[in-house]
Amino acid sequence: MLQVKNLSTTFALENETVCAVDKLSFDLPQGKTLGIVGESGSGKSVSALSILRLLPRPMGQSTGEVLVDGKNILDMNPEEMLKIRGNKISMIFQEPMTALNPVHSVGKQLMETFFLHFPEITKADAWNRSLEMLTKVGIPAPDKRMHEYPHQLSGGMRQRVMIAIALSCEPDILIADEPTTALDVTVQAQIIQLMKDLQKKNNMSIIFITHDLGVVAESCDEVLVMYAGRMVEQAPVIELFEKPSHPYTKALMASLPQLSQQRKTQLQTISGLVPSLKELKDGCRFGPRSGFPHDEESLTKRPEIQQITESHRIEWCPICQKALQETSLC
Amino acid sequence: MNPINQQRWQRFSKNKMAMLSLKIFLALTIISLLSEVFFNDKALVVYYKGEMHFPFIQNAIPAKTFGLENESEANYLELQKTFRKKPEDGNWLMMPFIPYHYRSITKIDTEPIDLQLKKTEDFYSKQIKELQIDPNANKEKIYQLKLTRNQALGKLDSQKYHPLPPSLARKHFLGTDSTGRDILAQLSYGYRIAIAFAIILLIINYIIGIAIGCAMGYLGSWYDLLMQRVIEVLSNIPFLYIIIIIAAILRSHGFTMGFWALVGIYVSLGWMGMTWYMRTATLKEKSREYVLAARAAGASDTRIVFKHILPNVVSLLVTFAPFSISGSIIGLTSLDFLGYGLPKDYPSWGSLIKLGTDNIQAPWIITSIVCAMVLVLFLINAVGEGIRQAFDPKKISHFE
Amino acid sequence: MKKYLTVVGFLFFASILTIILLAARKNTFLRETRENISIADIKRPKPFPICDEQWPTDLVWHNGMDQDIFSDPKATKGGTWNTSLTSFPPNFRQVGPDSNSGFRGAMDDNDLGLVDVHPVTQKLIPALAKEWAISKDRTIVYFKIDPDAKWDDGMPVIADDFIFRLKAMRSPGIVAPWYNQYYSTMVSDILKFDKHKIAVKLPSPMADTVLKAAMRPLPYHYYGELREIRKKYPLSRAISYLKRDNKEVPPNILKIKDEYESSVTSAKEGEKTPKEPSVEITVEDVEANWVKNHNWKIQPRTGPYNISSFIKGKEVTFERNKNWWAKDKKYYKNRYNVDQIRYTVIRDTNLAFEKFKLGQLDQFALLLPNYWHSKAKYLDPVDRGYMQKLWFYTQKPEGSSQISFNLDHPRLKDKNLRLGIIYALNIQNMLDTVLYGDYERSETFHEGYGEYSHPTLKARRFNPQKAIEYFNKAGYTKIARDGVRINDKGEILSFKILYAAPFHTQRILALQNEAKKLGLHLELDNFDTTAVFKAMLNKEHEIAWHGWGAGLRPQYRGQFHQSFAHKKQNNNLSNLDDDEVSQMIDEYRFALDTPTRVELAHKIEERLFELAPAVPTYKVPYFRQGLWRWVKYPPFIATPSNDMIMDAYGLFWIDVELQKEIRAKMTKKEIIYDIPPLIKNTRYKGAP
Ligand SMILES: Nc1ncnc2c1ncn2[C@@H]1O[C@H](COP(=O)(O)OP(=O)(O)OP(=O)(O)O)[C@@H](O)[C@H]1O
Ligand SMILES: [Mg+2]
Repeated sequence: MLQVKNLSTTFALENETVCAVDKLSFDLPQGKTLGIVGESGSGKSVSALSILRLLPRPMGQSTGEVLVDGKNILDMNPEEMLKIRGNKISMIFQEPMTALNPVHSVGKQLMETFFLHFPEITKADAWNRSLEMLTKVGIPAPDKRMHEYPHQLSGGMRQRVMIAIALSCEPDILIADEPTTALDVTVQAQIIQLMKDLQKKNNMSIIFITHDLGVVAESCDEVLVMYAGRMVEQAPVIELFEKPSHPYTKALMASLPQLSQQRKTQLQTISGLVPSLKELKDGCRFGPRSGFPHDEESLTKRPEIQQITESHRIEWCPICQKALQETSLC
Repeated sequence: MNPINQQRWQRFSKNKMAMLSLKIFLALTIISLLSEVFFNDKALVVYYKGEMHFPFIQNAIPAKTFGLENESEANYLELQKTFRKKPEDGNWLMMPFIPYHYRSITKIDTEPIDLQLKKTEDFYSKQIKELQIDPNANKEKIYQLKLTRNQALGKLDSQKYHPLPPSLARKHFLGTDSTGRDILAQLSYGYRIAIAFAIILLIINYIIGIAIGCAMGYLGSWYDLLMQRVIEVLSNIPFLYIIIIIAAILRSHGFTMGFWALVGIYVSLGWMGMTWYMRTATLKEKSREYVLAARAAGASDTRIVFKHILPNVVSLLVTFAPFSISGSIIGLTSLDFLGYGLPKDYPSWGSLIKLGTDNIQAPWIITSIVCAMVLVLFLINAVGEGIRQAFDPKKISHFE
Repeated sequence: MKKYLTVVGFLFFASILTIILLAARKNTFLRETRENISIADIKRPKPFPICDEQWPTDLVWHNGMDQDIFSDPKATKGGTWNTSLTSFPPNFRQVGPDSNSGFRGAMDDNDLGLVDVHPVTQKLIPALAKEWAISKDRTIVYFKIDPDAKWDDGMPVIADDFIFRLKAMRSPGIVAPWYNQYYSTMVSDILKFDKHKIAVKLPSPMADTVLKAAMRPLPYHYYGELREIRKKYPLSRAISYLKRDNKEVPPNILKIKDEYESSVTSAKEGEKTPKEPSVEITVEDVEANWVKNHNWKIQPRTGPYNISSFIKGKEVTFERNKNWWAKDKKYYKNRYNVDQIRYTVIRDTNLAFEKFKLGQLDQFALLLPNYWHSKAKYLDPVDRGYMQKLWFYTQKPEGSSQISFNLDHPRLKDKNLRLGIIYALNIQNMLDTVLYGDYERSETFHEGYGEYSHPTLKARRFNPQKAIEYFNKAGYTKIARDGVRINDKGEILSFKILYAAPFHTQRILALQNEAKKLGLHLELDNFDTTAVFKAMLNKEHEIAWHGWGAGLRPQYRGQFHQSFAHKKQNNNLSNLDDDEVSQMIDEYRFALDTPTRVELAHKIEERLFELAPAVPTYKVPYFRQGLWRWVKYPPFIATPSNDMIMDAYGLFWIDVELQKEIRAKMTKKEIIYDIPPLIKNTRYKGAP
């Protein structure tokens, strides 16, 4: 369905270029959900934007391949791109407050997608289908909402409108960049349920970007862990939770609150900071924070990807690997 | 209407000063647009021999149509007099509120003044003669008498010539200028031209400013850099020289500097103003998430600029409009004042100011035009201020 | 990119900085004074050779000493005359680029010629020449230079100064083509017999022979010897210059000439005639960079005043030469009385008027009716007896104000149309209303030239019937919207009237208003003064509203001769191309005796009236001034030739005691009880 091969994204800054995504590869089969997790700044959003070629021009540049139905998106001309966006691949953004245009009514913004992708559609048709979409995403009194403006809606409602817009053309792939982060927990659950329902109906693939491992656990089929622009580990969701292999994944898991834990015990945090893109070296990037002493070689030479099982990939340097095996022995 | 705009309008209408200013401004503008009805030397209606004529909208009607001798266009003030002499004929006509067009020149009947001059002269010379029997003893008295005589004569004499001071009887409510044209009529027609100039300029400048400014902000990179340099170069061109040069070139090709040529020059050197604001606004809006969302939904660049970014910066355009209008009015007026503006027989505030400063001894000219100018600029700025406050984002959401 | 921008930005700011610095340098107001050189230090240049010809003995000599004096013996010396200039002169040269500024006259007035004209009788009176005589064939005028005549640096005026002027004016280094041409064609040679005896040779017999030959000298000792340079000229000009300088045409030039002439004659019809070749010849020239070197130099003069100091951009002061050589001569006694004349730059007339009212300027011209009747109607200083208003009718050639039609305009070609327009111009109404009835209607193109002016011809007056008649004849029979006439082709009766002075707008508006009633629309066309003049000389106008200055005799050639028609950059603003007029103008130009010339002048005026290429508008046969009362003048006030109280004749003086007294009274606001009468002198009014 969607294949990403060696996707790299660089930003040309004032006097240097930084690499925000570094040779990312994954497959997304039809009807499945891929979760992408990682700390803030690890390149999740940039990867998503790269797939849709929405990077700020002219600084952002992507290389590699993004294949949809066998065609490389990165090679398409702008006109073809317009047909892909919103139609084949849709995207939902993190911030429902600002992702809607404040000066247009909800109805107008919903209808716009129809006008964009079905130029022949009549106004009445567009209206009806928009109304239908609003009903689908569970907004009460949708015909009233159609006339309202974004600032008159609650955050949850706005996110629903966003989803309605994103799904209005029945895309094959939906990229949801932290769609629930800004929402409170109950609404979060509703939205996720909504997405799941719609996914089932349309047999759609979803890329679900989040920090929240809990959300990942309940909604994804596979998980891809990113760190400093690179994939560190990818596995089916159950496998990853049961058998996290990479020290970073482990650390991430450890920071997740468990029901079994006693209330007073402190959550484990990953010590140190995410390295700045400018000071990245080619070798093991988690090395300096992992707690295991790394030598010069492992910090400068890019580690190889190892296929642990058929669906479990991991990129780790020999030192991490060894250290981890030792600790797991004890 | 967009509830935000509704809110804005409510806020604007609550601003008493701005609302009042807007009303007066609109009233003035409507009056000036209908200048031909209010200030005209052509009658509104003439009833002659059972027929109705409407000279103010009709082609020139030869005087002989109304039983006058000559072939040229009828002089309706004269016609009115002849009609009044013979009320039994049942002919009548209705003149506009002020029976002067901006270009009509009032003729002064000098005969009665000459008569009065002679009388005054005789009156004083008799007295002076009497005093001159003993010139040394009476030297102060003679001096005073001569002085009053000279001044009396001078005052009388000046009534023979334009400019004439304001007078209700003559229907020159603000007096005449040194050519003999009515000042109020000139103010009205001049205002119409100034406001038309300002609005046309505003529209064209906005179109160019929006197109180029948005493109600069949205496309960025070399286009932005190039346009920035172009704008810098253009803004450093000395305006007056360009006007003189262009007028000279136009003339050598047989054209005169008319209204549209002036608009053209103003636009070609003045479109930059809005461009900067639009560029900044676009740059700001471009990085907002809804633009990204629109792109993700498959909207093209032009669509994004015009459908998404533009409506968001419209408040900027609206807030700037009144100030831009008052700026254009000032610009045109000062150009006319310097003599490089509209053709000299156009009604123009600038030439009125020039006339006023040249004839400072006739203070009604300069007073009228300065008051008119101050009033109009005040109104426009009050409206502008009202709009600005109504649009002020700080007021849209605030914490109690 | 960034580097490039930095460089460009830097250059940009650097250039702006330089401009500012240069401008600042130019504006530093420093008083510069004329340097004094003692006679002993002056290097005398090589004298010009004495001619071979014999000084004739059978001449009839005139000395002009039989005229009345026209100055007032009561005049006293002293005081400073303060007056204003609208702009600072671009240089102090009298020839060369940008030398023709309004300030030129102030310098020219102090360069005497060989003879002068009596301002009342118009007869010749002596100036630098003591005596003069005309040869029998009227081509040579002999002058005896006054041995007393001196430059103001003390050097005597000698024959060489006149020869030097001729040579200098012919030299390319002064960058003044008009002068080069004039002195090459209007004077053929100057002969030197001894230090004080010269003869000026004219190319042909001319009317007003003495005046044509009465040159002004140029101080040879000051400018120094001429040098020889090689210079390229078009062939014909080169040959004429060689002939002028009495040089033989070298064989190589002759050869080029033959070749060129044969190529012209052999050129087939329809083919372009070959371009005239240029050849290099040797000519005499003034010093290198003469124009630049003499921009701000002050040359010695023969007149009563010379520039003593100046502040660039601000003021120029002339100082009276206390030892002026002519100060006791019959016609020069009691003239030029003030010690200093100070010209201050005041760009704005209104400001100058205010300064006059404060007593900072001694006089102010009140010629414009709105000043006389309105602004200067009540002047506090007049009422208090400090100031006086003067209106003096003169009798001298009038500058001609007129309206010229461009006959090259496709529609204005039609005489009927022009006559229609002329009859539709209510000039009298304009004079009566806008001009307060002060200006007078001009009847012909040359008024005030005595017998030369046509005595009976009357300009066409406003006449609605005739105007309509002629408009109909010209095809403008219908009246369109807005009352403007229109012809069958749909052309509307509307013409642009181009004029230069913004304050003429009211006058033309008055005409426009009246013409409108007859269906003629006059579109006002006014712009920057220089641009307007250029447009007129390039014949870009439809109708031009303009005026020409006056000369000694009526001048028709420049304005009406066909050789200037359809060409740019000349004064034939009507593009008049009439054989009869041109022929008469040529005759007039070369006629010798006055009666013939007068008759021709009248005939030309009549023919011009018939052709109607232009119409004379008004004349102003007087001057009007406001004067502070310390300015004194002779009992007859001024001569009929005066431009103002203060002009080339210098008859007025300043009563320094009275000045002090009035200034004292001014501070105390004391009144002088006799109100000065408003003087309106019409002694010379109404004469032709
Ligand atoms: N326009 C840009 N120019 C330069 N660097 C950028 C740009 N956009 C993102 N980056 C850099 O790319 C890196 C990845 O950013 P990204 O937004 O993908 O992080 P993220 O994983 O989505 O984090 P978060 O969870 O906070 O959303 C960051 O280091 C960021 O600084
Ligand atoms: Mg993100």
